[in-house]
Amino acid sequence: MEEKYLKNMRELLEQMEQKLAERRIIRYMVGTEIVEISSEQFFRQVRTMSRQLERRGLRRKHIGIIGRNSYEWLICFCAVFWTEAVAVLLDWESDADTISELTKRVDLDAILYDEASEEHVQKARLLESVQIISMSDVGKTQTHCKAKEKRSITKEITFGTELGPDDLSCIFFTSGTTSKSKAVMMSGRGMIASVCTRLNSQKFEALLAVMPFHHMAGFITILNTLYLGAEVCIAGDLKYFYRYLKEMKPDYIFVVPSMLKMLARKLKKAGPNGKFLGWNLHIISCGGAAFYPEFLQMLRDQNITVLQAYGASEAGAIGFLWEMTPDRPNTIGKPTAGLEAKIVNGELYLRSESVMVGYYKDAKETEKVLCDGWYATGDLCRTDEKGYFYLVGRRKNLIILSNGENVSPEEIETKLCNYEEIKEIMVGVEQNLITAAIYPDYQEGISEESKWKVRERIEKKIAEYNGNSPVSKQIRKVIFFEEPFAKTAVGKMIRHSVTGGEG
Amino acid sequence: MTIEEVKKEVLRIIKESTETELKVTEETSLFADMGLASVEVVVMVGELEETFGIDISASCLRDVRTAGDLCNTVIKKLIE
Repeated sequence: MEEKYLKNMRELLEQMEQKLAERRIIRYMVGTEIVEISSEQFFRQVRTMSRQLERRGLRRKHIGIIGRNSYEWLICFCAVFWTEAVAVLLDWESDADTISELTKRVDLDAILYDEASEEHVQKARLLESVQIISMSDVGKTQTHCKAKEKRSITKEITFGTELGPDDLSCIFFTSGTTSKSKAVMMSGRGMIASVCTRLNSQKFEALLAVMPFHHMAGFITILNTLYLGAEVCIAGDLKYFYRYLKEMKPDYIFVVPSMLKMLARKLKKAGPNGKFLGWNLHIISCGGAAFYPEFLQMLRDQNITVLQAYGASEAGAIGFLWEMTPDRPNTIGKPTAGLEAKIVNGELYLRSESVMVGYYKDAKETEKVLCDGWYATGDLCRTDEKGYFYLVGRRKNLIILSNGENVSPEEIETKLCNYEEIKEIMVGVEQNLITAAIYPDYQEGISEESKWKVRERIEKKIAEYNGNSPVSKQIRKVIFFEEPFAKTAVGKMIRHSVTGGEG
Repeated sequence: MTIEEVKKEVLRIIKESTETELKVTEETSLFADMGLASVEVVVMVGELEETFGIDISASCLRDVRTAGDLCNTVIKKLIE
């Protein structure tokens, strides 16, 4: 694509519209039918949606987007940029309390929601001024927006200045090491750098977009695919993962290790590129958590290139993307063009055009991780004599599951520690399962039978917590301890393995 | 199909789909015993839908912990 200095995301989208003219750019499935979307259709709907947002007075405002992976979600996302507003991406599994808290924290002016998130959005306690708009109205000429309260539709405000590259463009959330998620701010410059990049020389024609769109690996991979002139196939519901591979025949997929494991099970008997199953897979990128190197040789034998992706939401999309080879199955490779990497006291630091501006209204946390454009990843790393990087552990206290979800133990502990019969709780991971180690608050001299009843009530409480939590944050295993946990001199819990109690 | 046949078929699909070496019974925990990731269970549900010609929504999966829970979810949908 011709290189032109771009000031904001709208200019990038306008450039894409020209370059992609008269091409099919998106496919998705409704039941067993494939829907094909041309560039003209897509950008026409983006403009229509953008006009609706402008009529609602939302230009340059903070607009939340919450929903499952869908074509409508993509229209909303691009329409927000077309309106020169800030796109704030929310997890569709968030409960009403989380939506209420995040809406206030990042000063949302409106929320675009889909059917899957409608109930929680409607229940959220929002300021009167926050407009809630259904995604089902996407691209319709007439505005039938479902506002919570009747509000006046304001006229378009004219802004004297142009939206510049340093202005805020997108906010998304990443699991913090405290009980709260962190709101990552991306400038227009950071977003454009993330989208307009070719991290690897591998070429592909169609991406199957399976990663959640509100994650950076989701939305950036899609825009990058369009930027590279390829097509996006939307995986709307992971239940139909294999159907999408068979019917839409993408040649490229970006997955997390737990999905790679599933793919590997199918591919080992499926011939080159999975053709016996009707698939056409040529490249698999795997990121979000540690890779399973045991599948590498088999996948290569099936004519599939495996790329190991490594990065951090805060560092934007310019990260490591390395073609895996059996001689170094554990490396994350070498930094890509545009990425600087250094190791300070064992910790990996990254610097590129795509690094975040900071955490929204949280200078204190920003200072801890950003210095002179370098982002401290919290990952411990080493290099070998040939300059290959290897991850060796985590400095930050985060659980990273094989599905790529980063979960803060404190977030879960905070929700359960107030339960009267839990004296101490420590959440960790065992065999890739979120596990809670619990020291119950037994009364002195309590009988074994009563202890058993206390444990039963705690398990009930955990089941209740699970019922109200996203799948990725549910506790899968509970271990009871008879003794309090070890502490430091200042009374801080020493975090290590959570096993050792009574399962 | 009888209820017992449905259960047998669900357990077979779980075993085949995950290639586990464990003996899968109704009591087997999909997570604690089999170590499955939630995404693996979601994809397996897609296979169950195709086999039995039913539609299982994501909300039905919230309380699914064991292979038996999956059997019951399928049976409930077949009866509806």
